[in-house]
Amino acid sequence: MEVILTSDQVANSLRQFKSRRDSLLHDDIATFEHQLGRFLDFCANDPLARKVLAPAEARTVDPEAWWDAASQHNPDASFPSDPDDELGLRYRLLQSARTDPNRIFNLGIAHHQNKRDGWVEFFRTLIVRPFADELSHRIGEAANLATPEARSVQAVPLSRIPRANETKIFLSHKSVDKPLVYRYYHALKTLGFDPWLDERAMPAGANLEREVLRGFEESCAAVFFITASFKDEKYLAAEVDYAVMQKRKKEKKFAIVTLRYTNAAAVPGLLTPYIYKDVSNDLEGFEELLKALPIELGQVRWKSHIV
Amino acid sequence: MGDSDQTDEHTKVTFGVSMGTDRDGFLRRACDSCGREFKTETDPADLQWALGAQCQRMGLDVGDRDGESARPDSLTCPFCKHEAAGSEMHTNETVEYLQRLVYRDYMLPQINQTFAGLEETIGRGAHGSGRGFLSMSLKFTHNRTPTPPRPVHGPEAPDMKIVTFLCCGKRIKVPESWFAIDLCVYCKTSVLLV
Repeated sequence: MEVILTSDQVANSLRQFKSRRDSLLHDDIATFEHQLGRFLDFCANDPLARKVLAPAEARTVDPEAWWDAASQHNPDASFPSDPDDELGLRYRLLQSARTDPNRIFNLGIAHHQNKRDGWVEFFRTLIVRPFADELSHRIGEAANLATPEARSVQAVPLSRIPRANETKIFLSHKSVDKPLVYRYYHALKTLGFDPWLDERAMPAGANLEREVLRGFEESCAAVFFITASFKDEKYLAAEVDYAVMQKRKKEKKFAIVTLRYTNAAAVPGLLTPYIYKDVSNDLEGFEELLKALPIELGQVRWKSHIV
Repeated sequence: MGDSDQTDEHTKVTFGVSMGTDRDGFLRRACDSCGREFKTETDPADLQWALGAQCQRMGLDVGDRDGESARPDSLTCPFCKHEAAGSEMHTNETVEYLQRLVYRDYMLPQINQTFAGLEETIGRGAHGSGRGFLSMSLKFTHNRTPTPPRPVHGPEAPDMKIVTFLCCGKRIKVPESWFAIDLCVYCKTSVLLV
């Protein structure tokens, strides 16, 4: 049965693996047998190590034949060309060296190492280090497979975080274009923006001019729609003036965006110094609007009712 | 994992260092003040300086680094805000790896060579003595220290969450539960985690 490991278990396995591997490879030679035993105990019991070593243990290899060939007068210490067979053989060699440490001695003598330091380092270099290196690689891969992808968050500079009362999007329109502007309103709202539409944003009995002015002051953009129903710019004059005033005050933090639909009249002269785009449908217009806005939305997240 | 190449009659040693990064290319760090761990994306120049620092701690002179190795940026700890050179914020594991590499690939060959030379000098002196007033015999034998296996670095667990600093576009990793980051680790800009 497949063992499922938590991220903490994986991290713990890797920490223990590295500690025991490095002790085996680098600690004082006097403690070598002890470190070999600890390392092999880890290999036999740790769930992550088992995932990697269980297939290697299943390979058909002959450690006795290798010891005999590698410890004779003209030693032959070659390994199988298949990487899985090689890993399996090295693992078996470590296990048999633990059972019978004299094998390390015999191997060292056959390779002209006359002292304990020499034959242990020779064994470490010839058998242990390549095994540890390959196991490090495979156990790292297994850890990657067993761990979900990292979450990602953003650290946003404070200067890029607007205040709550400066990110509205003012939708300026003629009554006859209300259905069109509502579509923009709802799309912006769904995405998480804060669109401003006169009748929706104004409490009953409010002073129209004052509320419109406040709407502009709390906005980062004013959007003007020029459609086929557009006849003259008189009705726009006051709102364009307010928008221009905000642009002067807020500079780059305020955008004046004009969307001109197909078959509409020319963009009024008042608005030509600012961004205007010819669009043939709402989707195109919406894309142009998003590109022109001085604000953007943040990190992708799961909807609250999903999790 | 690493390898070295001695040239110019032992005056220049080139170390090839290969560090274990996690799946996303991040190297584990440890603050040298509070000891807590975070990760940064690898910077070859930083590793070169870290290796140089280890060599100097082991009493070796470090000459010019290659052109690419401009002094790495300093880092501000995402936990305690301690600021230090990137080459000072490495884990014990990384420091031990670098020390073992320097010992194996530079110091040990130097020791063996020095004592082998001494053996030869004293041996020659012993054979040539006997003509003076005071004659003495001296025998010096050096047992060459066996070369230990090359150290291995990694593997690195793919843990922690990624934090992207929008001020400078650089990324770090911190533990999942850590949210109290209010300064960019690289450029110290005030930030808010969202």
